[in-house]
Amino acid sequence: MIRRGGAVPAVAFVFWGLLVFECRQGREDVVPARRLFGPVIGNEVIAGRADDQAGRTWLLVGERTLVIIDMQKSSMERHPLQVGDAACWGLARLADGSLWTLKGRSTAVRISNSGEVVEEVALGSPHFGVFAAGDRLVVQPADFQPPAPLLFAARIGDRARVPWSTLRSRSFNLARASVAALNMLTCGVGREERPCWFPDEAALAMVKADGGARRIALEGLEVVAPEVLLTSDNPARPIRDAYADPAGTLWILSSGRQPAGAEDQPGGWILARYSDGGARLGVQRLEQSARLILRAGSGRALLLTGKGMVAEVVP
Amino acid sequence: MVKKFVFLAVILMGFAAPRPASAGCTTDLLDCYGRAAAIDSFWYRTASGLDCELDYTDCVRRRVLGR
Repeated sequence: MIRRGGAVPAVAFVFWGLLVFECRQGREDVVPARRLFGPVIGNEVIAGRADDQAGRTWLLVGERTLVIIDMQKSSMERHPLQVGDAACWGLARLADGSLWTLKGRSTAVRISNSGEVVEEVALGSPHFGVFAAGDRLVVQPADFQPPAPLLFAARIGDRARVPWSTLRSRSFNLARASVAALNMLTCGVGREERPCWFPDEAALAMVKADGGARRIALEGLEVVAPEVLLTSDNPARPIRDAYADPAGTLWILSSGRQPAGAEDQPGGWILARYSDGGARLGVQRLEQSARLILRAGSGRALLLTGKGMVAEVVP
Repeated sequence: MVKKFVFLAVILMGFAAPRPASAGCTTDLLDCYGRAAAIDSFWYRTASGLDCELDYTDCVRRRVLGR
């Protein structure tokens, strides 16, 4: 009997493949980050963010603490939310400057800049998220039966709420709870249009003030299967944060892969830029991981790094 | 030879794959379903099952939406 091949060619083939893979990784440009100030947060999960035009960002961290970052003054404040043992999720800043979050699953609460609860509104059923659209509060009810409208809007004090935006929940051939989890929406920062996304997709829904949405597919971002996304400790996400700058450039923070030997930090390693229409302008690896895009424009971005620092990058 | 190559490839892919959840959201959901299934009353059993699913979405939200 004649045996072909053998262990040596097989191992050589595998190592050649790994070498090619590593070389491809190494070809990415690495964007250095210049530290500005901080740390402003620790390793807590960022559960919500809101911004104003004057350079302030509000973060809900650890589900019970409000952090206010002032980019103009290079300063931060930290206030525990007066919500007892309840966990909060999402942060929405309405046109009048009021700040709202979801307390537990079924209550929207207005909080002050120092963390006190100013007003409570019972929502009557469980919800996944809270967003702002001008003077209206936009909520995402916990819906386990897609396809259906995803978001509903109401003015504070007005009991009637209406479907808002053309976004609808998606169907998957998975268990009910998994389908509900995959339909949870996150939104970033934008002016005329706000970028929103589902956790499993490399695509943005650019949502206008009236709720109209257009879809932009983003090429070049790593996507994992929904089953992997839902069952991993630290899942790779195609979009961790998105920021539409005033010139229309879309800045995307993506998980990417942690470089070999890098310190274990939360956040993503890929910073990508796309045109308003979705054409890829650049995909680059960050020198250190980043958790949020705080500001972007004129070819530079302020990031919240994995170590909690505010840092500037110029890709 | 082919078997060895496939075995090696599987091992290497295992290193590259994301870590599975250890006592994670899915495990908690299954445990919770198990406890709910032991409830005698149909309505309480159904409500407990729904609570399990909401707990699961809370858990997943922290992992895949938290930043």
